[in-house]
Amino acid sequence: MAMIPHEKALVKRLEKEPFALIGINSDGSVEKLREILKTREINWRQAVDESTEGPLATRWNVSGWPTIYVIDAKGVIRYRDVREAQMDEAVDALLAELKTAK
Amino acid sequence: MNEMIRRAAWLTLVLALAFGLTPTQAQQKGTPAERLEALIERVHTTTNDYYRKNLKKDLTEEERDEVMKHRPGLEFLAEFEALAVEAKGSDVSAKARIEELSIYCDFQKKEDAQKTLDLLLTETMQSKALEDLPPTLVYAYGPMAGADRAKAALQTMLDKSEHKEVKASALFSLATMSCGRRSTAEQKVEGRKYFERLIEEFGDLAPHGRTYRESAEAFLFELDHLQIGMVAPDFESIDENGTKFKLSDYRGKVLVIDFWGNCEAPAWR
Repeated sequence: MAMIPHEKALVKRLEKEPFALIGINSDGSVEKLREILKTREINWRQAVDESTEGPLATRWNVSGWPTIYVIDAKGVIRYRDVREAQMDEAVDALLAELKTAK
Repeated sequence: MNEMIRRAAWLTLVLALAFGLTPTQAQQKGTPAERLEALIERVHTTTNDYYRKNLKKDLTEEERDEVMKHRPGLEFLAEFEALAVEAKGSDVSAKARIEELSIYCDFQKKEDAQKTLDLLLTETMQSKALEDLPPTLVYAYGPMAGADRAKAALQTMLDKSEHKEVKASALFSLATMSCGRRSTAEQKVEGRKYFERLIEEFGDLAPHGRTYRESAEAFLFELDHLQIGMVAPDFESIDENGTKFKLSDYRGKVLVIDFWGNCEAPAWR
């Protein structure tokens, strides 16, 4: 939850870039999640994982929340658990890499 | 004569206050196990009340530090130790000392923590209650005394305990400690061996409703597929609008995935 303001800024800043943020949420049913998204004004896509023992959290062996993965345009995991400024740097570096590759 | 009687009465009163009417004595009802449970409950309530009363939202950093500095904990040590001594060698003794160990670690009392751990691994080495010691070693003792010391204690439990539950719990923690986010490649190789041994020897035990096999396989999946430099394993899910989507739909884009929730408390399983 603490990361939401930063993530909002990131999504806004990069809205025209080949970038996406996906939340994998563990709070409960889709109805409950919709309520949270509305109250918190969260507009990025969510995977409904329903609980901390949901299928994705279990598969990805997540035991602490939040857990962050940053993935490049080829689908390769490049960073883990970067937050705030570190997350910005990671994403910017991968976007720059993508532009040079083109 | 009067003087002597007065003195005797005075002395009796002092002795009564010192030995007879202390709170510990007053609470000595029930079996040691019941008293331990009540004590643990009291620690929880006292701690929660303290934070609720003192940890206000608009505190400055200094004020917050001050609140943290005076948090409850140390004042319960004597009662835990009294129970540990009274029930020497038993499960109750082991449980009481595990509580002591967490408190000592919480307050960074290294030497006392060391002594308590040494007692746990001598007086109560064959207690089944040591099953609950590994998480304290990983999350409290290790960060304070160093990972190597925590690992040494876990190794002792694995080698010496006659209870498979204790051995398995120690082995699981040895494995997870070797596979942390900051572990070296070498440590991860070691971690993989621990997990493989866990599956082989204790795979069917299920301490918290989940078998060690399932837990170990999840960690092995992480080692094999979720490391930096690996292609993220694809998944399919349903979004907040009920639309199905796949991770691989996002190829060509830089992607952040954030496992999050309202209850963002760390959890160990």
